[in-house]
Amino acid sequence: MHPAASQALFEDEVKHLTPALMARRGWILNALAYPVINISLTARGRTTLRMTFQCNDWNDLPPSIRLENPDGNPLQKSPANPTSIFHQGPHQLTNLPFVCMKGAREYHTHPSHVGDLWESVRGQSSYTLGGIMTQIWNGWLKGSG
Amino acid sequence: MSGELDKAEKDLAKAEKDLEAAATEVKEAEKEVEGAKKKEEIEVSISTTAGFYPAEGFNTVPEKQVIEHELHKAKHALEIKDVNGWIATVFTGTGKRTLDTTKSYAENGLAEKAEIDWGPSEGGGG
Repeated sequence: MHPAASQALFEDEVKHLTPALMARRGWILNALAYPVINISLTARGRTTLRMTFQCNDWNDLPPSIRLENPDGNPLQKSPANPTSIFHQGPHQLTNLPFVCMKGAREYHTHPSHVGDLWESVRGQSSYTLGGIMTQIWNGWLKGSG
Repeated sequence: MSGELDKAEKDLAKAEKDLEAAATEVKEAEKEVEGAKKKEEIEVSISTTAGFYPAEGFNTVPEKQVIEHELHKAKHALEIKDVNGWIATVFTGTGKRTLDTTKSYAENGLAEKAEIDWGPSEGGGG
């Protein structure tokens, strides 16, 4: 996709990441400038989960998602979670734990899932940038610690 | 003659008092009806990553209305294409609670004001 088209699509989606939404969901938007979103998920009694979404080539490619500690350093251990959306890895491309869920670039590039194409979900409402964030958030909330 | 006039004046005064009392009773009854109506309504705001519905503030809807009715309106207004696998939740003191959207606000234990979050549940990993 042409970078300008990618940026336009990105900006059309992230315009809805408003302060009101952040407040309601307990999200903190640390940085937002194409092609990067850095966001923290917070909840009472939980350790904040921070993530960087690299959205270059959105939405020809799904975002690459880096899991981080509250300071913004990459997590070396995946968050404890009863769902299987966080994988200890390490991922062969990043050497880090990763989001193992459709919509994360690391999922679609993992040898176990290369046949599970991004194209099969691309454009669906659950796989907008906000939709992917929401899925991770809903999964993360089921965990503890 | 003057006795009859006195009596008429007294009757008139009494009638005016009765009228005043009746008017007060009507006002109280109207207040009660209004209160009962309010009790059966709930203010609802729906948040999604495609925007809020309504854009600002809350919509007042019947407590006995099923939640999916308002979600359907939100889907249309916010131009959300598909909502397969989406869940509606509310925050409680202890965390997030998923709502049964085929049931009413009242049946979901919601009253007065509800801030509903709506979006996709987490996908399967592996």
